[in-house]
Amino acid sequence: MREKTNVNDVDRSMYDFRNEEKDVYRVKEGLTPAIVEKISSEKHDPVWMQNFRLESLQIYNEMKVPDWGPSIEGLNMDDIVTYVRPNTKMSAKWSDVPEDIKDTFEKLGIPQAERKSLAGVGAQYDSELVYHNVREEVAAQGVVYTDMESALTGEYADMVKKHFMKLVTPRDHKFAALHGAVWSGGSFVYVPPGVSVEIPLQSYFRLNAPGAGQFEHTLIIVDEGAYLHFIEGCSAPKYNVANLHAGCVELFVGKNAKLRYSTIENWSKNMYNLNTKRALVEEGGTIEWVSGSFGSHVSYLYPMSVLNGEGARAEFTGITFAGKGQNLDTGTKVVHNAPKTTSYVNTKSISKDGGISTFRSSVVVKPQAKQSKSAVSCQSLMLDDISRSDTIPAMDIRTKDADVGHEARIGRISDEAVFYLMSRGISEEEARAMIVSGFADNVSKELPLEYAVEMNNLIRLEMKGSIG
Amino acid sequence: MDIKINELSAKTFNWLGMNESVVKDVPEFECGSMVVTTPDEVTCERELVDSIALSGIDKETSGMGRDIDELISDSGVNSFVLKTKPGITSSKPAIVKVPADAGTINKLVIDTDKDSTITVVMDYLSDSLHDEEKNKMFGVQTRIQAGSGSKVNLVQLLRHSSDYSCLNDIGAVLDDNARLNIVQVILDGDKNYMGCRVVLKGKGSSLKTDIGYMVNNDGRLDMNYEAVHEGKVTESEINAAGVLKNGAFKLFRGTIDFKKGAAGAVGNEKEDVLLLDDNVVNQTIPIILCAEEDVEGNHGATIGELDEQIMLYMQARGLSREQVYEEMSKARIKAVCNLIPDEDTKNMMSDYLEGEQLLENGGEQENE
Repeated sequence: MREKTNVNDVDRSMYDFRNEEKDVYRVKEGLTPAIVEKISSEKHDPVWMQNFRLESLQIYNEMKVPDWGPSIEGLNMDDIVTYVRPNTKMSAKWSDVPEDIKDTFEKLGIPQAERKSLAGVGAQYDSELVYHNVREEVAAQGVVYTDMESALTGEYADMVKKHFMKLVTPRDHKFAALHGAVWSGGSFVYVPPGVSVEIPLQSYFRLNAPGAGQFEHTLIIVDEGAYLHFIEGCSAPKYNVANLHAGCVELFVGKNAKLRYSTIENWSKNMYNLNTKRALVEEGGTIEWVSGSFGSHVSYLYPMSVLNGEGARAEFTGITFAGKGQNLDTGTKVVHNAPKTTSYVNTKSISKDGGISTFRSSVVVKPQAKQSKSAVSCQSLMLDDISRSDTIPAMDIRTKDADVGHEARIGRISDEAVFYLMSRGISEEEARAMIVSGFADNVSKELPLEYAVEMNNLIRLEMKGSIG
Repeated sequence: MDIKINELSAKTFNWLGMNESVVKDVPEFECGSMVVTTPDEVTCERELVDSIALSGIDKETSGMGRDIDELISDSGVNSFVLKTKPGITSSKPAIVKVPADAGTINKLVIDTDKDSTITVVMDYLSDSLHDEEKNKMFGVQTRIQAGSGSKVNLVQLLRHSSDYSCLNDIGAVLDDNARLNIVQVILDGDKNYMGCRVVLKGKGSSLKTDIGYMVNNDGRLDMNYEAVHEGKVTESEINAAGVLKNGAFKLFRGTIDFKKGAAGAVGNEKEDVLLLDDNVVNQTIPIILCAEEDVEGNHGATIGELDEQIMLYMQARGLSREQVYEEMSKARIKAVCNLIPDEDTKNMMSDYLEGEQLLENGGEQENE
């Protein structure tokens, strides 16, 4: 019989604290036109947005739940509170944020990170942003980084209206429609032509209320020749009732512009994470996705890149760690819609302790995408025989003038590699830990140092367990 | 009647249209007139499908799924059942002539006893060429029960003309240390639907599948191959190599499914597709499902046109671009034909390919 090494679960204790609920307003559970109208009224929506929400609700009611992914039977929309306003208004000063909420973000290291390494921070607590700030020198370059509600009615209202849910429409799928109906919070970023934002912006989403949903909308427009690195983090304490995250991210990458979008997702294990992310990339532009999925009970997450201009490029680097009670269905979608476009996908997944991880992807090369190239590589590691790991990659190629490659691999920790390391004086436990850490290395090295450390903490595999 | 076939065991995004295929306007089939010639060591009997069903050989689903079983059952097919004796290796292959008769369906059962070996060559041919009748469809299902230590070589040569559509289905169960080698050469046909599901039930059982295909003009090739690893130390290999030309459509579904308990299993899938025209549609979905830690699964795919270096090399030796494509296409098919474990059949296919112009353009589908 083969020896087995016990690999401990992801240590989530640093995220699993909860505050007393002090929200000042919450809608009733469930989803009705009256609730949607109430959210719209609470948020002082312009008329077009109010109508948009109601149309989205109608679409939501018409659409079916997906018949192909993990079960979401445990999610009952009649039990979900779609809007919870915390007991504060948005501020640009941490000192103005209520103590308990400020304490939450301090525990998560957000203010410290802002001081050390960020150009701007947005912090959302339940359904609303409680803090938003951008460094003066970045703002002086013309960079706009604000909350979505302010953007909707302020100087950039027309730009928001032009782009809002045009890339991810409510008809995309049921939970995109849900988002259109009840969205709240999120960030709007505009980077003017030629401006390079040298240090990242970050939004952090914290859901404290049990049985609630978070539906933030992130809209980023990086204009011609500009550069931005945007980081998104999310977490929640664990409750015994289902929580829902159905955010939406729409990214517009202009001609010769570049956007790197990094996510460390660490929702609690009662969370249904049904998130939608999409980027439209113009001629010569680049979208780089870096994605770490560690939390949630169930996840459906496939950031999509639409390469719409000649020479546009997409890179996706992702890691998924599915532990006990988790069914994480993650991956990416790419559409090559113009000549000489390229996509490169590199993912890793780890399953343990009964966790299920699925890599799901699609690469579509349209007839006009001549001389396009795509390479997809996915590797999965099974750490025990009670877990599952599936890979479901699809390719649809409609021109001869394309070069498409795909490779997938599923396996266990190599005995030979362990033996090799042990022959150099390393204990078996340590050897196995090194191999698993190395397996995840491709993602951590793509992150800024602080976040790489956070990620490594998340997947710290304490290999001190028993062998045998 | 419409039937649903080639359903993926793990579905994905519906908008891709790969989860299953619906075959429309399937006729009410009659029993076909397949001709089977067997060597002395192999017994051949006729049995009605209902009695075969009672034997349990249809218990596992086949590659196409239950709709095809129902279709066969409704048609009251009188099946051929080939059986081998323990420890006996048949001296010659069993030859199965499958006539492409519109509205007919056949069923072949291969039941091998312990440590025996059998080679079965199935040749799909049509007599009539381009008559007026449209939407001509025929079907064949092959069920295999490979006893422990036995070896089954199954060769299927789809050479029927391009006015016929074919439903070709395989379902197999392998006992301990049984081996199944499948070679399929798909050269013509209007719409070819290929299903193949092999359950590696016994410890040490193995599957090797090599598929060579050429799809031209408006042809459609719809495939679903599944290797289900249930036994320990089982091995599977699925290799597909093909060429798409003019307005050809091809969908390859390949699944390696490692069930819990299949410790030590290894599964490999490889696909290599040469695209010769801009109107082709090439869809591929290679799936690995894994519920066992101690396994190794790999998949690789390369899709595109001929490497420019190879093209230049061949052109420098006096071949035109069209000749290079013709030769490279033939080379892919020949490479698969070379795996046929029967010299006579191999030579027959070699002669056949020499006489064929694989990339003949089809009238108005001409693009170059």
